[in-house]
Amino acid sequence: MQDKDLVHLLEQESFLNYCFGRNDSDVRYWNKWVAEHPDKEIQIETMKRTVIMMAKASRETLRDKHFEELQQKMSGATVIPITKKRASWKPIWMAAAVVLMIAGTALIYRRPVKPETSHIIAQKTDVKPGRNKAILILGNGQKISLSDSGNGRIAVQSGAQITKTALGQIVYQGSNEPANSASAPEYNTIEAPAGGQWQIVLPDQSKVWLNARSSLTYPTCFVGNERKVQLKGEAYFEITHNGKMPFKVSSKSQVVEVLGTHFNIMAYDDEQIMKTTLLQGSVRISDGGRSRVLVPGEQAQISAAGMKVTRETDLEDVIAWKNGYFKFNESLESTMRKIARWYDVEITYAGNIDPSLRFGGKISRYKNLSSALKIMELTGNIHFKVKGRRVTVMQ
Amino acid sequence: MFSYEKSGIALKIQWNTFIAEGDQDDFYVLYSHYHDYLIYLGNLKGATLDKSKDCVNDLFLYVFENRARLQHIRHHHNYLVTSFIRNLFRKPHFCAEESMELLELPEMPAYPSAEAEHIKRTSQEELTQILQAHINNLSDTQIKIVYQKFYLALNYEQIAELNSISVKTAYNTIYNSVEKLRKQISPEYVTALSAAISIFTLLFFIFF
Repeated sequence: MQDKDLVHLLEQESFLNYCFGRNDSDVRYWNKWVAEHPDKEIQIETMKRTVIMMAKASRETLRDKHFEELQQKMSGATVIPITKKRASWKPIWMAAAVVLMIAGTALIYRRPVKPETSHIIAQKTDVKPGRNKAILILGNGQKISLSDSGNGRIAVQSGAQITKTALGQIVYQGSNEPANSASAPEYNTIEAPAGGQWQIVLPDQSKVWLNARSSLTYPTCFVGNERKVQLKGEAYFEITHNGKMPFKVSSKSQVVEVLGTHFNIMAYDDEQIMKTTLLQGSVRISDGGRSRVLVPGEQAQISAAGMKVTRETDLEDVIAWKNGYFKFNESLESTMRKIARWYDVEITYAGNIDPSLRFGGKISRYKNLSSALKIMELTGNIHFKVKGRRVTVMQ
Repeated sequence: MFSYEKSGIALKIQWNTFIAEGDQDDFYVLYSHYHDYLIYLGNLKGATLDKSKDCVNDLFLYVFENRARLQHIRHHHNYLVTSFIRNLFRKPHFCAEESMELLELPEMPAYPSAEAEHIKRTSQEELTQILQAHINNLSDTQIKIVYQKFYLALNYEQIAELNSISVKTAYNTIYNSVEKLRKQISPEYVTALSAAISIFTLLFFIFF
């Protein structure tokens, strides 16, 4: 590419918008241009990558340079202590300790240093958060580790082709009608272990997000007059509409029947209540003899005591896990069970825990264990000790 | 999908930890996030990059020194943004007032797309290091202008005015900076890149 052309490219806002994906029309325009000038593709792509990396590099350089200037000012700063008029819920000793600590660190300040205020033993190998990890079990018992598989086709079953995408999904493609409709379809199971999660696109294009310690059993193609799957644990579903073939999810004694909709089912063995929350569409939930149709925003809670339907005040909370964070609004034990599943750790309780203790808040699922526990400790009601994969909870 | 404002508000945990304990990591996370947004706002209001930078640093210095007084702040995002703007053209005497209503503030348009994010994440270590090393060979002015053009997404007229240069000079600065760095990319990378492109663009178009 001529230098002259290059200059003109950089002078055009639309080209830069394309590089950074700032608006759809410029992106479409330039994609089309590249398609029409395939000989220029490499130069354009190189330019685009250079420009993106330059944006990142310039930002980091400037930010760090400016932060260093700030640090120099801070090392000469005095921290103003709390005056007599303080918020009554903060005890004096805590404020003084905090002020002393800040004054101390300000004097020796060089780089951001993590203060040792936590009981959590800082380990060389901090427990990492969960990640995309699951096993696919085929009808013949063959197990395929999805996280270890490369992208692309990983198996063929009853005319359906199973592909793993770059985004970490499992996609079933091929006919929704089997070549030989007389034979029963094969069943596959996807199992996400503790510390794992996975997304799957079923043969009917429905999407399912599996949370940690959960498994979904489903046929490789949907036949007959219903689409039936089995769930253990927790998953979020976005089911494609098919009036002729309602979608049914069974978990233990409960069956959720769907026409086309978005909902979350939480049915872990170690939870006493199975919760099904409807976000969009319509489902019928049955358990034993009882049955109920839900409208969006409702949550059905099924336990030994029966079925209860509530209006879920915050739907975002229910699918927070799928969006990458924990949303807590529950007892300590329930909170720790969620932590145990995602980090694949064992929880033990030292001494008596106040059963009325409730936790509320939001923590990213992608933090290391110690960071997450440290945030919980900030409430002041709880302390943790971590050794290897065992977490001890103390009050 | 991603909003600068929303993500700033999501830093509530870091703000609270910092105010309560003075955690330096959280302080850096807050600075790292607001640095860009506040400089962008400052630039929009006509303040030079240096002036905006001074204002950002003064704001964070104030927060650092006075965090004991800031415990009552419920909406850190409002507080930081409105304090910054109020003090941009005045002597910086920050006060620990309760936050005002959040003004209709513009969103930074520079937020990278999913693809750009992917490229940033997967770009070979080599290339990243080369660029990082050579970015430092650019002059201070060049780095500032590159940041304003590529990261903050200001247009050439805005950059010309803020830096007191002509539009032509702005074009030339960008061109020279990019050229300097583009030449550093070795031919081998370009070959590997062409192979990677076909697979990547194919997948990108199927799945996005």
